[in-house]
Formats: sequence, structure tokens, C-alpha cells
Amino acid sequence: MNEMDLLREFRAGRPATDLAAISPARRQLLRAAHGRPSRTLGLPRLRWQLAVPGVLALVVAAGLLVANLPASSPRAVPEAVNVLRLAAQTAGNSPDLAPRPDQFVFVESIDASIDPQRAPDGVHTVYRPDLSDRRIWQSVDGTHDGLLLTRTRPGSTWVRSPLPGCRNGRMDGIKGDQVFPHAESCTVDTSSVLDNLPTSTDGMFRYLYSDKNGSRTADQRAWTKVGDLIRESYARPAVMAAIFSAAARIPGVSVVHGVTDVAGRPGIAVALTDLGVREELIFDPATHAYLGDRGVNAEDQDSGKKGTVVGSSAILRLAIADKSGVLP
Amino acid sequence: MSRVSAAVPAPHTAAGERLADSAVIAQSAADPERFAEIFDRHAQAIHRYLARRIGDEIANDLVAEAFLVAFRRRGSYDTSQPDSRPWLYGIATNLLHRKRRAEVRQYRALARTGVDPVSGGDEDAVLARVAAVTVTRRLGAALAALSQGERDVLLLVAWEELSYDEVAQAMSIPVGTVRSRLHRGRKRLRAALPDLDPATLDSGMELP
Repeated sequence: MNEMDLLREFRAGRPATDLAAISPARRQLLRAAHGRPSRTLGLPRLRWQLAVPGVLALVVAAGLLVANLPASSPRAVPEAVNVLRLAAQTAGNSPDLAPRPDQFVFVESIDASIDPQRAPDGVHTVYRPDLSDRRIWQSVDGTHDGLLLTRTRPGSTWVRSPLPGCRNGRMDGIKGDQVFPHAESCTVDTSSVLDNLPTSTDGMFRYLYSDKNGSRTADQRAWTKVGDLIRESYARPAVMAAIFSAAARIPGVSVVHGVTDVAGRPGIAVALTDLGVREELIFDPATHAYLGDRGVNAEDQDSGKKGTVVGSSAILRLAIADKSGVLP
Repeated sequence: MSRVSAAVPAPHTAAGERLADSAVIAQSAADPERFAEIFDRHAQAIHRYLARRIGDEIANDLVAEAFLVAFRRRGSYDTSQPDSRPWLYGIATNLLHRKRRAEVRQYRALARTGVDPVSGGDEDAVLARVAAVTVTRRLGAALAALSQGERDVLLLVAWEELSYDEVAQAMSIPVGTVRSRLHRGRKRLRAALPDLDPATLDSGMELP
């Protein structure tokens, strides 16, 4: 044994990196790749883009609904157009919650998130279903400290993740339980309220297609953008209506009947398949109110056979709160 | 053992062979999201390397930063190099330099107390068997005393099994410099560990 052998043994017993440890880094990278500013602490939202087949995908043992959808069709099927138009109508007729800058957008949801883990053999990756409750308070003007509470089911305790507000370009740094005041630079994030967006169908359609090209088609990117916009945010009625009516113009969108969301509610979904996953937006079949989303494998993948639900979330409540951490 | 292969299926060419990193990086110029493939291939190994040097917490931040830096610099990647690992290790190691004091402080703490702040849990069973509290303490002291360049070269070779050429590429230094740093570093380690002799180390250990 020489000094190099000794060095090789030094700290060699450290476990292999768990995918969970690097998943925030991957999110940051994807955000950069999408031209979004990276948040230093981030992550209120799980983005659809993360449901890349085989990379992050989770199996929720839920409905194995397999619909035979065409890989792509020249335009949205009339039925899908209809569902989205009705959804636009419903959204447009909803009362404006008119949040004040000092308030918080509160969203309570159930999230079936994706949890690839290292298998006991230390080599392979296994996909574990992970169902959690989420309560999030997001500052309307981005300068107030928000909060994310998550609770893994069944029945564990709430885990608090502060969402520091950004004031004068600085925000608190958080490491575990420690808070380091003004430790990090930041940009103000006001994405919890969608109000400075187009309210016309044409304008919103252009906005949905404004991202640069990639390997995915422009339609797929626009569809992803729809999901990202409305997930855990509050859209003013006119904006929400424009989002759905513009989405109705995205070619290839189809309808999936008889969907059950992760909260057990029946729904009707409109969907576009992207990277082997059918990305669904789910609506109440009677009122066409937006309920949440699902991703369903459109082909066999590492994360599960065709028809496996690989990620979903159900919005239970969206309201405006006066104080972070206090139920409205 | 220091390399963890990604369990993620890699894109393949029509012929079925895996695309080289350089090809994926070239594609990512027009299609930024392709760069996630580079992450999926190498992030676990880069993270483990960083964590082994500086601890998990800082490594979590640095691995994110390293891949953001790599992503921004993807346009200047030398596509004649099929394997991007040296490039990524270079970026990660350079970022680590900013944490030099923290890294050295941890080696010193190990030297002083015999407890390695970076280790955690059940590990280093082998070293424990090697009677080694004294040995690891000396190793900590020696690592703390190395120059940054010597430490980089030694650890990239010993832990990450990079070749001299790859280390040269990673750190943008001539291969001759790699050799001389390695030589000096090893000499210093040997000096700090005078009784490095199989007879005095644990007999239960398999010797090469």
C-alpha cells in the first residue's frame, strides 16, 4: 500500500450521490435552458419538462387509462377545441380575486411527484410513487416572505420551506433550519399572479409560441407553457380565458374522456403528447373549471408501461391570503 | 468506484451506438434542452467528487453552478474531445477553488481531532480497520499543506481516475505540469506518512 492507495481509500466509503441531491441542480439547468432566470432557492413548481421519460418519472399507481391517440394530428380535434373554449368561458366569467401586492396567492394541492431513487444494488434506478399534500403561499409582489408546506402521505408532518421575498436585490439565504439574512442576490419573482399577459387569443397564442426552437416541436413547447403558466399561480380571469382559447389553437391537442385526477375527481382532459408522455390538462366535466394535470406514458418507458400515470397534481383550493402561513 | 454510471438511457444514433458527449453538446447549441443529457450522464459523478472534497451541502450548490457554467460555455466546447468529463471536472474544480479555505479547514479539523467533517455515517470502514486514526489525521494535515494545484491533480487522479492527459485538459495545464505536481504531491504525502509500510498497516487489508 502506497500513499496513492491510501488516498484512494480516503473518504471512499461515501455513498453514491442520490438523484434527489442533484435534482434541484437539474431543475436550475433546465430553467436556464428554457431561458428562465434561475432562482437561487427555488422550486415551488415541478415543471412539466421534468417529466422527461426515463429521467424523472414516477409511477403513481392510479388509473391505467390508455387511449389510442394519434401521434400528432394537423389540428386540435374539434372536441378538444370545444372543451378548451368552454374552459375559457368558465375562466372568463370567474370573479377577479384582485390580489393586493402585499398579499399571497395560496394554493392547496395534491401532488404526485416523481421520485427516482437508487436501487439497493447501488446501480439501477427505481421509480417510487410519492404522494404529497402541498400548501403554498406566494408573495404577489415578490418582496414578501412566502412559504411552502409539504407533507408526504400518509400522515407525516408538514415540512416547511421558506420562500424568501426579494427586497432591494437581496433575499435571505436558507440552509436547513438556518436563515442568513440578505445573504443571496435575487430578482423579484411576481409569477404567482398572471396579469401582465395578453388577454386576446391572438396575443396569447403568440406569447405561447414565443420561445426559441428546440428538439421538441413549437406546439409541444407551447403546450408545456400553458401547463407551466397556470400551475400554482393565479391568472386574472381575462388572462386565464386567453390561455385556454389560445391553447385551443395548438395543433394536435386531443381529448381524453373518463379521467380521474389524483384527488379522485372525475374529469375530462385535453392532451398533447410530448417526449413519450401525454400531458393532460384536466377539467371538471360539468363546469369546465380547471382541476389540475397529469402526465401519462404514451409508450413503454423506464418509469412504467404505456398508460402509467407518471405525475399529476390536483388543485384543491386557490385563494388570496393576507398572511403567509395562515390559511385564508 | 468513483464513477457512477447514469441509469438513464442515452440517446443513440441510428446505428444504435451512444452519441458522444461532444455530439450532444454540439446539438445543444441549437437545442439548449439537449444539454440535460450531459447532466444526466455525469452529474452524479461530478457531485460525488465535489461532495468528497467539500461535503454534501456545498457540493449541492457547486454541482448546480458547475452545470450552469458548462451550459453557458457549451458554445466554446472543443468538439474534438468526445468525452466531456475532463471539461466538467475542470469547471467543477475551478469552482471549488473559491471554497479553498473551507476545504482546507476541514482537512485541518480532521488532522486536529481525528474526526473528518466531510465523512458521515458508516464510512471509511477500511481506514478504520487500518488502525488509522493517526494515519488519517496525518493525511488530513498533509492534504491541508499541499498547494491547491497539487491537491487537484492528486485527487483527480486518485479519486476520479482521470488520466494525466485528462487532468491536463481539465485544468488547462501541460501534461508535464500534471506529472510534476503529482510527483511533488506524492512526495509530500509520503513525507507526512513516514510509516506507510504494509507491515504497520492492518493485516486484514487486501494489498494490491
